[in-house]
Amino acid sequence: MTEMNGKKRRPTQVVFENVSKRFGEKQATKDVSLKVPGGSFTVIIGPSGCGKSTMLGLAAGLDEPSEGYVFVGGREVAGPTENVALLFQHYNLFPWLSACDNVAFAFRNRGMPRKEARRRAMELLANVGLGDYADKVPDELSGGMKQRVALVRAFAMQPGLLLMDEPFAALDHQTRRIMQNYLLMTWQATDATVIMVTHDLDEALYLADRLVLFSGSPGTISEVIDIDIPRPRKLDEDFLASIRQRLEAHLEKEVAYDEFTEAELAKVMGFASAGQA
Amino acid sequence: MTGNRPESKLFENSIPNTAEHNGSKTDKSTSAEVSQVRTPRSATVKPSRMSMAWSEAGWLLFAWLLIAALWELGAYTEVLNPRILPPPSETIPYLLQGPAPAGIGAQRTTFIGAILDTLSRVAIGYLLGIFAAMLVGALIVRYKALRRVCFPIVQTLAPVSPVAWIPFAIALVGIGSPAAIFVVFMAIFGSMTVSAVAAFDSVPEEMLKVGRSLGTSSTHMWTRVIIPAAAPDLMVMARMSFFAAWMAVLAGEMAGINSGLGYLIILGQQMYNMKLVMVGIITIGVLGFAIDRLLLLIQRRLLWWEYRR
Ligand SMILES: Nc1ncnc2c1ncn2[C@@H]1O[C@H](COP(=O)(O)OP(=O)(O)OP(=O)(O)O)[C@@H](O)[C@H]1O
Ligand SMILES: [Mg+2]
Repeated sequence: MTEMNGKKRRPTQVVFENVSKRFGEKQATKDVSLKVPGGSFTVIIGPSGCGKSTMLGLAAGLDEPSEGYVFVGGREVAGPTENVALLFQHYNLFPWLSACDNVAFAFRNRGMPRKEARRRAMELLANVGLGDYADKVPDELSGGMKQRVALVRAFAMQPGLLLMDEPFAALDHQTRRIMQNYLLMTWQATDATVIMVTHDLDEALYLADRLVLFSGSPGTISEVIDIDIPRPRKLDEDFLASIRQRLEAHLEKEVAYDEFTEAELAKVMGFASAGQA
Repeated sequence: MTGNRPESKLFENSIPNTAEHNGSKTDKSTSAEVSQVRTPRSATVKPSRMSMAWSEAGWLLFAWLLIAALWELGAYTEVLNPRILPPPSETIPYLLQGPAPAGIGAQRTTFIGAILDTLSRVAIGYLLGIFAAMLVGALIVRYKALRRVCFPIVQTLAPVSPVAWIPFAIALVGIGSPAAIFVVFMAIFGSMTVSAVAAFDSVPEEMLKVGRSLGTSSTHMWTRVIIPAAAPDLMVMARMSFFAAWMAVLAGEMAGINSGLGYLIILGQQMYNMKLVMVGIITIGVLGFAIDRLLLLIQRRLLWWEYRR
């Protein structure tokens, strides 16, 4: 996955220009403009339902914006392309295919013969220590291993852009830490641009070059924070700790108002402040 | 498919519950460490599954021997009237020797002939029904207009008793195999289409997105993603449909299609040959059971990945 097709290509820039997206009556995002530099690691955080996944869907070409434009690598997005890889929390792997065939699936779609595709897939899995599990089906793998296989496949396509929607949210704390480092290692060997959505502030601070804060419904960008600290990072560092406080303050007032009535919210917040007194 | 999802929720309640297949197991294994993996169990699973099959067969045999013994006892003590309920000691030899051809004229049929008639009808009607239901189900999922127009029709056809089609079938194609096949088809087509739509609809949105983003063409989306993903649900419904098909062919044969196993029972009734009725019932039970087991075997083969653990 390190060889880059011989010729050097320009890192993939992503641009959202006054993007609004409606699903029927529901306005998911409103007038969002964002520039994601090529080769950077951007993390989107924000309350539930503010349109984060919607943004990824637009960049992936799985949805069209209702208004505005989305450019990936200088071209307006028109449908999914192999230049863009996707990673979700679940359902990345097809349960009816072995780990090897799951990775080979991508190659097969490019018209590579089955044998050759499987050979390449085996190689990639062996490279990351998953050689012994190549013939296991996803149900036989742990959650972390499933995500690792999915990551291997995503990078196997040598994508210019990797879109990740809470990819590690279902993993336990320890595994999540390992996966974050694993992701950084793999990503740094490529020129891929990464946009990741997460609810985990530690994860955001640990990974991001740039944090994009969304706020509630309809979704808009309320703040963009650049984090110019070399990796690997220590989260108790002063600068990161101060950003963390800002994020917490932001999210506090962005509670998902969609999900609570005002009375219910008052009750819960009342309980919390009574606890502190 | 994307746009159809909210709409499809409407129909969830009308579908038999097959939720056990809908991804509930994907979440189980998330807490394991990266370096840790389940020990391969396939080596130990196989013999134990074999021995379980044997013990299941043993109990089945035992249960039926018990019933036969009680029956025999009942007939011997004349608690059960042997003229109406002939005991196994009479029925089994009668079955093994093969009942003499029964009926008159064109309706005359041998035991083996009746079995072959019924089996071929159910096989053809069943396969046609499953195939048509998957096709129509796929079209309904694929085209919004069809979902609006065809789906309600299919849903209202599904609960119509297959026997209700018999007059129509006989008037259209006459008595005989085509009418029986038609009845079998109608027995499963509606409910199987409704299930197929539900199965296709419940393929996780994320899985479809991943498939598309991996460059899968829209034909391959069906053959390589949607159908395999829906296969567990489809298979469960196909097995259930078999029972409906089996009932339907027999009911049809009894109610006017004058040949096959169902008709054999009617003949037994008309000639007051209760042994023949008994033989008919036993044959129907044994064949139905055997075919269901065969379908289970096919399911294991087809859905091999679900039986790896
Ligand atoms: N296909 C769709 N049809 C109708 N409404 C949709 C669809 N997709 C998203 N929405 C709505 O758009 C809004 C934004 O959804 P989105 O999934 O982008 O939120 P999110 O920020 O990813 O939330 P979460 O953190 O919970 O994942 C939500 O109110 C959601 O209900
Ligand atoms: Mg989301």
